[in-house]
Formats: sequence, structure tokens, C-alpha cells
Amino acid sequence: MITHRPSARSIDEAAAHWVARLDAGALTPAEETELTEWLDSDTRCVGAMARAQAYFVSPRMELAMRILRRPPAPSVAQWGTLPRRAVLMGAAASVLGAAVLIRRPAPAAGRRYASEVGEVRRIPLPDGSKITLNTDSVLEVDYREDSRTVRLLKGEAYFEVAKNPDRPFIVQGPKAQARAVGTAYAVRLEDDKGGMRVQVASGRVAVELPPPAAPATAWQALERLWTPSAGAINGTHVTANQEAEVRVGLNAAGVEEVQVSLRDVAPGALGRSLMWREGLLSFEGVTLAEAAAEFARYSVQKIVVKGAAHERISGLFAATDPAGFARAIAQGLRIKSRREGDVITLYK
Amino acid sequence: MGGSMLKSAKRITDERAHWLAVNVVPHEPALRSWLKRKASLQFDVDDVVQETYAILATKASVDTINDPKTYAFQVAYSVILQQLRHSRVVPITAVADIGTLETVMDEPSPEDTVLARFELEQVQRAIEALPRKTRTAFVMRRVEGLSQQEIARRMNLSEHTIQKHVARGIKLLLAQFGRDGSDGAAKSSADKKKTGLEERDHAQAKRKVH
Repeated sequence: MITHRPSARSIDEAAAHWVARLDAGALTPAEETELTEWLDSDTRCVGAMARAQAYFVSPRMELAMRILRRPPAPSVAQWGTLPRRAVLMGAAASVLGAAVLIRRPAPAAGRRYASEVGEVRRIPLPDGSKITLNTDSVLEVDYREDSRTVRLLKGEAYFEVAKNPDRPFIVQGPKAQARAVGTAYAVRLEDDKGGMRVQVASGRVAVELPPPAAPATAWQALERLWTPSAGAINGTHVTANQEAEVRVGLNAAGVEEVQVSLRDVAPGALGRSLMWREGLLSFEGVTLAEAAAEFARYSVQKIVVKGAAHERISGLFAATDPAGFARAIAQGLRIKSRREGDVITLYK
Repeated sequence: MGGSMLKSAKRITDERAHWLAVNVVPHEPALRSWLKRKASLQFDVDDVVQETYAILATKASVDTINDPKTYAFQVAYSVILQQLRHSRVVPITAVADIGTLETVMDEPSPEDTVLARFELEQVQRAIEALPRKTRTAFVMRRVEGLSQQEIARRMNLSEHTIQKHVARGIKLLLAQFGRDGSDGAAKSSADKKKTGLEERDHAQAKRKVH
């Protein structure tokens, strides 16, 4: 009965042709007929065509291409010193910080890397270490003989550090730094004030507050000496499956105070929260509002939650596909979603 | 009525293509490896995958599918059963294997599912393996969102050539995650070292194009 069955390969080839052809523009009537006849000839053609279209529009493919794309141009570099807001730090930090820290080398212009919204970039470093830069993030790499320093200026990054005890690997935030010898950890800037979160996947990381700048005047030096220690500010070690949070606030006296708190992360939770390295967002019992805020980091499309904001959700989603997320949520929570331009509204 | 309906039903919408891309494509490697383990049933894995996509593509609505992976496996399972029913000679081992089909499907095995072998790095490698111009055209189309016409202008090539590049890119990616996929996965860890260099080479090549 079956006379000739085309091979899967030849069907795929034809499907690829048709997807590219449809993508180029409207078909001629002759082509319309040809495509219809081809689809009618074998169910497998219909499947191959759908599969080819799916691969062509795959967000994962797109993400992979974004990562592979090189930085726009090296001319963007040239950052001067880190914003010297760190100078305003609380008094206790001056005492403790001085004891814990190695001196920060004079800031030099390092190589600067940036990622766009929705982009995840992998940056291999000359020593074998690897940086994965999350969406909408900026950092600067400064390699020296005795240290490897990364200044995280915006966003979040994951560091896989090649072991080298002679050259500590230091990630500097505005108010604190995370120092490692050979380990894997993520650092995320959490707010404008210099708040920071350090999550350690393996090894051990020291979270430290930077040394104070030299007092500008003798009077300031004296004042600092006499300010009682609040005792709250500290440097701390973070080990695998722990996270440290650096919070910046004002103490009772109105002086800026930096606090480091440490907590264990439930098994599996760390992997989930680092899922962004795969272009995915994983939620486990977070509120819809929190999930929407997380999506906002990855796409120009914004999700506005007008109903069910406190409903808790779980699931794994493509980070760059807020529309797909909204659809799934609307369905799951039985609410409605509406899309106007770059704004997706979820409402009851 | 039948003719026009058939025609429209066989051409999928962008929305359905996207749904397949997000919900089914990531599970395809797991589905294929599962199908390969059932090789004694004497079916062609590619045929079953294509038939499965056909059913998912032409289904009136996918709104009620809560677990696309399980659903895709069930569809593939029904395709196999259908093929077995139609074939004159059913191999003796088939009967036993059919029995095991369902038990495999009942295991949700979350680890092996969502990320299984459609990981970003592997997708990256597949894209890196594309010929230079094909890759350039593909990236301009998919990442920068330029039309084929605009890409032709920028690369100083004919629109027809760009269309060929896009088609070739799709074809190679389909092959990478289809028939040739398992080889690619096996190779992947071995040539990890090379990727940095390759990326640089690609980048240099790409800069020349622009």
C-alpha cells in the first residue's frame, strides 16, 4: 500500500524551507497550493512543520544567541573609582573593617561588562574562572598579580572561581565585599543603598565590609575614635548552602550602619534561585507580586498585578517570556490577563 | 467547509508555535531518549516525534494541558499503539514493552524533565556550530528582530540567500536536537575547553561581516 515514504530528514528539510519562506513574507498563490499539498501528503509533514516553527521561535534559542553575542564595543569602559559613598559607613565598621580586610588596591580602570535586560552573559576569565552575568547587570573586572577583583556595579552575577590561594577573588559591592579562594557563589545588589545578597553554592566566602577611607581631618579621626561601637556590623564567613545578606540603614544616631546577617538555605532552594543561569525563573511558594517583580528584571514587558497579588505560586518559567508566565498564571489562578503594548495586567 | 478548515488547522498560529517552543521542545530530548529505550517495538523515533508534534499542533486548544511533558509522552504513547495496531506483525517483545510504557510515564521525575538535555549550554553549542553567515543571519533575525529583507541589505546579500541561510539554520538545529542530538550531547563535555576560543573566532568573524 505504501509506495514511497519520505525520510524524516527530507521532511525536516522541507519544513525548514517553508518556515524560512513564511518568515520572508506572504506566499504566492502557487506556493500556497504547494504548501497545502505538502502538508496534506503526510501527517509527519504537519508535525515537522510545527516543530520547525517551534524551534525557530524558541525563547531558549534566542537566549543562547544573546549570550553568545559579543559585547557591543570595548569603548564603553573607563570607569573611575567606585562611588565613595562607602566613606559614610558606621563607626564600628571602621574598627572592625580595618582588622579584617586586606587593603583595597588603588582603583584602576578594569574591563567592563554589561548585560542588557533579558540577557544572561557568560564571561570566561583568563585564569579559568567564569562569570555568569544576570539580566541588566554591570561589572568591572580588575586582574592583578596579587588579587582578582570584580566590582559589581549593578544587578547580579554568579562566580565560579578557579582556585588560587595567592590571588583572592574579591567581588566588591558599594558597601561590602565577598572574598573567595576557590568556590562558586552569586552576588546580587538588592537596592540603591548598597544592600547585597551573597549565595554560596560551594566552598567558602568571606563577606567583609570595606575599609574606611582615611579621615579627612584630625577632628574626624578623633570623632571616629570616640564613637561607641554598635557591635552590629561584622564580617562573616558564608559556606555552601548559606546566604548572607548585607543591609544598609541608619542607626538611632542617624549614622549609616551596615549589617551582615547569615542564614541557611534549604536544600534545592539555592539551585532554584540560581536557575537564571539557564534563562529560567523558578518560584516556590512566592507571592504573585514577588514573581512579577522578578520578571521585571528580565524583560521590558512589565506585569502589573491588580488581583491575587498575595496568591502564592510555584513553577518554572522562561525568564524572557513574561507573557507566557502571565498566561499560565491567569489560567492557574483563574484570573484574567490583558496585554497593552509592553504592559501585561493580571486582574480578577 | 472541510477543505478550508483542514488547511487552516494544519498551519499553526504563532501562538501555538510559541506554546510548543516553551512547553514541548524542552522535553523533546527526554522524549527521544525514552522512545529509544523502546526500540524493540520497531518504530522509527523520528516518525513518532513528528506525529506527536502534529497532534499537539493541530489540537483545537492547549489551554487545558496542565502538564505538557506528561501530555506529550502520552500522545507519543498513543502514536506508538496506533502504529502497532496497524502493523501486521507485532514483535513478541512488543507486548511486554507496551506494559512498561505506562509505568515509565507515571514517574514524574522532575530532575530529568524540565532541564533534561535541552540546557542552555547545549543550545549555545548548537548555535555556535552553525556556519558563520548562517549564524549571523539567524542572530540578526531572532535577536535583533530584523526582517530578512533588512538582513539582506546589511549583509549585502540577496533576500533569497538570506532565506536559504535561515532555512539552513533551522534545518541544522532540528538535526542537532533530533537525529544527531545524542552525539552532540556526548561530545559536549569533551570540547568544553574549546568554546572560549571558538567564541572569540566567531566574534572576530562576525565583526568582519558587519
